[in-house]
Amino acid sequence: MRYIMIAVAALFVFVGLAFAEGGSMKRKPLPFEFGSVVIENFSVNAGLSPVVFEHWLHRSKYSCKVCHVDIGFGMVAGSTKIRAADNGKGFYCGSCHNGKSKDNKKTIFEACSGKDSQKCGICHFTGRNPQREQAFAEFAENLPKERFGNGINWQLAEEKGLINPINHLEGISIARNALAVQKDFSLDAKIAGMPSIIFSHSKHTVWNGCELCHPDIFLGVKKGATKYSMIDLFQGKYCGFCHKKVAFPLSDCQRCHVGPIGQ
Amino acid sequence: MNNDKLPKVLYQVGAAILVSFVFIALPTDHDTGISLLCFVKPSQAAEESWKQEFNAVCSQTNDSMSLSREELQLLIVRCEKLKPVIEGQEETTRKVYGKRLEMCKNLLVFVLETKK
Repeated sequence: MRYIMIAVAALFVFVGLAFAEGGSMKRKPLPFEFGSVVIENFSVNAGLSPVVFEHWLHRSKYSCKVCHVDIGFGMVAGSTKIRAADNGKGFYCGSCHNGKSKDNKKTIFEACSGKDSQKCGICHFTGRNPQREQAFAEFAENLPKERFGNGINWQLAEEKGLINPINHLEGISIARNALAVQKDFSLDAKIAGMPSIIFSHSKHTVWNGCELCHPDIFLGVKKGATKYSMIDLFQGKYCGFCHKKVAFPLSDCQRCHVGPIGQ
Repeated sequence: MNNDKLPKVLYQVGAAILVSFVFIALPTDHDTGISLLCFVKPSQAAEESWKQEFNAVCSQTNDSMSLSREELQLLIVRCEKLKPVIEGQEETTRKVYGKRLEMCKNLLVFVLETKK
């Protein structure tokens, strides 16, 4: 009886510890959920559900730069504080969701126009949506597979021409010269036996441009001046800004640690 | 008609023809045939002016690494001049372009720092 009591007490302690940090166990997002952002600034007060923004759908069509540099969406969920009126004026979501812009010759629905209340539920919906899950499954079916995140190797998908994200929105984006290709560089891993990181500027600038990362995310001016740790990254700093929530996750070690093994 | 007044009349007619040509040469709405100049309000023209300046300055972010320190400093000054103009716009424009300008300027300052 005494052993049973100890075992039950130990079980309570372990369960208590497991739930202690966040109050509940965090579920690993399913492939179609990975990268989705819940935006709740004003919706609930307006009697609507928060917006669930699906990154997978938008990143298949537009580069990161178009939305986060040219349109001006912040990099942290809810930081932009988008209002329906902003969309109605043709900013933020309204840059494309204006009832005029086309996607594959199909008119993109107008966001927050107030004309058709049934359309609000396209974005303002937090419940399960089997149609969207099915749409993701069909989209991902023929794309190169990946172990984590959305289960899609986005980079390979673009290299193979299976997706072709638009990098310029007429009337919104600024016409810029093509970026000069910069050389890849190596970052030594701190743990012995761990392959070094090969950072490819070209792979990142093709979707992001310069100002998305510098200086807001990467402030360091001189190479090697900033010491990055995996703890920082898991806390959402540096690479973790994107590679925690939207781009392939940090748990996919072999995507970055591909260089020679350091000392 | 008095012969002394004739050259003056000719000048006036010539000027009127010239002005008409300028209007004809200006962009025209193809659906209505009306010169687009009729729809341009002074405030719109001013808005176009700051947007053109914004585009001219921030279009150079991709080239920032190849710019000299002097060129970068000049672009930063142009950003600083644009800031109060954007702050004077309506709320959404101010929010969107204020952020875009800040990102643009911060990058230019960052690149300038790398060149020290």
